[in-house]
Order: sequence, then C-alpha cells, then structure tokens
Amino acid sequence: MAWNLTSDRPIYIQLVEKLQLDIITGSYRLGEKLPSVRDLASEAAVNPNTMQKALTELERSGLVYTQRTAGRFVTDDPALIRSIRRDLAASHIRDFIRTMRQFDMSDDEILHLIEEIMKEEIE
Amino acid sequence: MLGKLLKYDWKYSWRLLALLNGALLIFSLLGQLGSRVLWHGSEMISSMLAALYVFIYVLLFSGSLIATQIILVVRYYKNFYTDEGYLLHTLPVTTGEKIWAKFINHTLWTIINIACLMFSVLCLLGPAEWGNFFNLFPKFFSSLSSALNLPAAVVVIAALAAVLLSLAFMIYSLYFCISVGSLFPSHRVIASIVTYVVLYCVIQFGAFAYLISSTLFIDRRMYGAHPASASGTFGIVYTGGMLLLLAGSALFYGFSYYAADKKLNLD
Amino acid sequence: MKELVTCKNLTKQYGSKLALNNINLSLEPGKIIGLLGPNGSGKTTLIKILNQLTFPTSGEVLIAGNPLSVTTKSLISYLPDRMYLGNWMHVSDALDFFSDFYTDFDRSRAQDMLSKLNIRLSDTIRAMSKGTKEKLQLILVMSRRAALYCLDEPIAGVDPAARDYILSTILNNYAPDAAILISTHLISDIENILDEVIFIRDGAIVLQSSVDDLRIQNGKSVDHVFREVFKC
Repeated sequence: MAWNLTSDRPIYIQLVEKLQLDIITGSYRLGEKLPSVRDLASEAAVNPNTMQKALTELERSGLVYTQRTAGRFVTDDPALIRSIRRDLAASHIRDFIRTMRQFDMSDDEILHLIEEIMKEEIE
Repeated sequence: MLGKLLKYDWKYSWRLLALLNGALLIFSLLGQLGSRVLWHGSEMISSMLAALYVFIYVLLFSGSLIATQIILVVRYYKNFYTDEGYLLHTLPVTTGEKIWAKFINHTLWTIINIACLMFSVLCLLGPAEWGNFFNLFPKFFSSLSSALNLPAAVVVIAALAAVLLSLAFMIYSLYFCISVGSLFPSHRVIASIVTYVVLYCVIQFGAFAYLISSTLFIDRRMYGAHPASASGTFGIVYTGGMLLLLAGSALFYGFSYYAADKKLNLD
Repeated sequence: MKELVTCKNLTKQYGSKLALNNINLSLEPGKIIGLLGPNGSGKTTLIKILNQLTFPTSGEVLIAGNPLSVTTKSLISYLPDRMYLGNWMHVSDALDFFSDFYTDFDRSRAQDMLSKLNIRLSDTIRAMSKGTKEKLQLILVMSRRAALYCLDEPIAGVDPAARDYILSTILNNYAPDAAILISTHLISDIENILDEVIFIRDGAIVLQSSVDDLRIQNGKSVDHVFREVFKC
C-alpha cells in the first residue's frame, strides 16, 4: 500500500481518502479489525496525531467504529459501504464527465467511447 | 549523582594515566634489574648506558608528573567547554557536582601519580636503601616536632593538611584558568594559557611577599631555640598560609562555578 | 492542558547581536512542532536556552510550569546538531551512561533498535562512521520517555534513506503525550509529520500555526508558504 501524500493539502484528509479506498476496494473487509493508530501511522510515515484525526473522521462517517478494549473495526454494514462507494465513484465520474465535455464531445459520443474501451480493457 | 559522574570521569581517563604511570614504574624496574646485570661489563659502555638511562628516566619522571596534570586539565576543558559539554551540561546534575567530580578524580590521580613517583625512586634505589629511605620520615618529623615543641602527631597532621590543601589550591587554580579562558569564546585556549602564566607569576610573587612579611612575626629568640616562641611563630605563619590557600581555593572554585553555571555559553 | 514550554518576552543578546527578540510562545504536550527558519534566525539559541546551555538576557522560560532548573533538565531529551558522546566510549558505555543519569531511559528499546542496525555493544564511537554516530545519538535520545524532545537539525546532512529511518524512529518512539520540538531548515522533508509550525526570523516569531490550517488557508505546502514568507 503506497501512501502518496502531497503537501499542499492537510494530511488527515488524504489519509481519510486512502483508508476509504482501502475499505471500498476490500483491502480491509467488512468487520475486519484495523491496525492500531501507531501501526497505521508508522506505515504511512505520518504523525500519530494526524492518523488519529483521520480515524476520528472515519468514525464520524460510520465507516469505522471503536470497541473500547478491542480496538477499531470496519463497519459490518454493507449498505453503508455501498453508499460510500457510490459517492466516491460518482465524484470521479463527475470529474471525468466535466473533463470530457471540455473536449467538445456529446454525451452519446462519450458513452459509446466508454463502451468501446471497456470491451478493449477486458483483454 | 556525584558518584555516577565520578564513575564516568574515571572510565574516561584511567587507561591513559595508568599507561603513563605504569611506564614509569616499569622503566624503574628495568633500571633496577639492569643495574645488577650490566655493572660487570666494560666501564665505558656501562656509563654510557647509565647516562642514557638517567636521561630517559628524568624525562619519564617529570613527564608523567606534567602529563598527568595536563591530561586531567584538558579533560576538564573538553568536558565543560567543547562539544562534550552538550552532554555534560544537559545532565540533571548541579554545577557543583560536575566540578567536584572532576576535582576528586583529579586529586586521586595526582596522589596516584606521586605515589608512583615515590615507588619508582624506591625501585631504583633498590631494597638495600629502603631502610634508610623510610627512616627519613620519622627522623624529619621528630626533629620538627622537638624544634616546635609540638607532639609529632600534630606535626604530621599539619603537614598532611598542608599538602592536601596545596593540592586543592593547585588543581582549582588550573580550573580557574580554564574558566577564565571560557569567557573569551574565540580564544579559549590562548586565554587559558595566558591566565595560567599571569596567575603563576602572581602566586609566586604572593608567596614570596607572604614569606617576607611573615618575618615580621619571627622573634629573634626563635633561633635561640626558645620553645614557646618557635611554635607560636610557626603557628601564625602556618595558619596564615593555610587560610590564604583556603581562600584562594574557594575563590578559584567560585569562579569556575560561575563560569560553568550562569555564564555558560557553549559554542 | 498544561503548557509544556512557555516563553514570555524572552530576549537573548550576544554583545551587539540580538539573537532572540521578545519571544512569546507556548507549546502543548502531545504535539510535534517544527521550529522553522533560515540559518542564524535564532532556532538553535532558543533550543540552547531551553536546555540551559546558555541563559536569557531577559524574559522568562517555564518548562511544565516550572522555571529552569536541574529538574527541568530531566524532563527534556535533547539531540544537538553535533556529536556529544566521547570518542572513547563503547556503545555499552553510552547505554550505561544514559541508564545511570536518566531514570526514564528505556534500555531494552535502545538495544533493540541498535541490534536492528547491526551496531554492537562493543563498537567504539571512534570507529563509527558519521551516519552511524548520528543514528546512535538519535536512538539514545528517543529511547528516553521524556516530556519534551528537542531535536536540533536531526536530518541535516543526511542521505534520503537515513532520513526516512530518522523520521520513522522519531515517530515510532516518542512517549505518548510528549511534545517534540524539531528545529530545521529542511522543511519539505519533514512537514508531513508536523502538527504545528513556528516560523522564526531574525530572532522573532513570524508565524505560529497548525499545519492543517496553513494548508487549508493557503492551498499550499508549508515549504511553499515558507518560501513566500522568507523571500530574500
């Protein structure tokens, strides 16, 4: 897991995004226990305070919860994960469409091109 | 904490000092053995070897004396006022403890050095002479004791106290020189040496002045061996001298404390 | 939360040079704070004063609410920008030394880190390369469970791999609730681990802010902001 952190945005926001991605892509499965704050911080080469801030954010969104003595766990609610996956995907698609529309392509042209390339990508 | 400082001070310097003093002792031993073996050879070679030996011996003798002092003073300087000071001065110990640890280690090694010097002389003299050598001490003290009309024990103790106080005075004077030097950030070493030279002259002059002025107290009758006046005069001169040494040592210690405490300004 | 370091109107004058000019600052426990400024800005002077290697001309310094004393020395673990262990020492001597003088020294932690670097107890400092000496000092300092760590230029003059090692050693070993004050002029290498930054120039504090606020307000890295603030 490469943590590519840039310095022009707060680190904790980037950590939230990376952890969300890990959860959505299944690197951390439903209900799986997360490593400790210190271990995660060490892995990401960041300040444990920053990692703590990121995890608190994730807890707020419900993606992650804390069980007092046992540690932190990924939510076991698949609907929540699906909803967040959808939101993230939607955001990527929105950016994509905005860019594509700048290329002066009609929405139909865009959809056709997408299908074409998806077929290519299967090989 | 003082004990711990002493431990590391000892660890820091014992090897080199032991080497130095050990070399002297070994060389003396060699001389003693050599003198038995070589005396039967040709006269010319024996005397040349003897001369060479004496030359080297004198070098080692005075060298070990001077080198011991220089090594210990340089260690003081390095520990207190160079990069090593970053370690020493951030330890949770008081300034007094730092100075005393250096002083105690220094005194110890000076005494060891003097003992080695004496042993090396004994070595050279050979066992035959030891009887005479050791008799010197009681003879000296008993004659002094009768001249002053004081019990021998008092004389011995007074002499010992004078030696130790002089030692303390000398050692703290060295730390004083280093401390003065430390106040001149870009010329520390030169300033220390200059201070030493100046101080040396001042002390020599002071001692001379003291001795001369103490004759004011000497009663002519002392030479008539009048017991009471002799011990009285001697007592005054001795006490005066001891007080001066004590005051001087305190002054040197105080200044060294000041330089290492509030005036500390590491590079 | 009790302040760990408090400076009130701290001024330090060296002859005609004003090294620190009326510094007012406070550091809280649990944070990693960067003291950032160009060479000669007063960073090292400030850290020396905290460690009583030099003394203020005027003003007040408190460590955990206490004035500077022998006790405050035991609260601070200091890594200077130079080699301060005697060349004569073996690694075992250095470990003994720290154990003897600092009750908060975690010897087994230090030994563990040293063995991972293949540094043996019998190695002498005299025989070590500069990089190894620096790592040894870092390990000793970070193995103390201190209230405040003062690291003066820990990554200057060090290759990138060693830099990573140093940063990860710092992150993985500081005592919880301790504060770390890192003074450096190499900002881009270190800003990702900082909670707060203090910009200092010509002995005066120009800015004190959390890193996140700085990035949100400026949309740029701390390094970038620094360059703008300190443009020659």
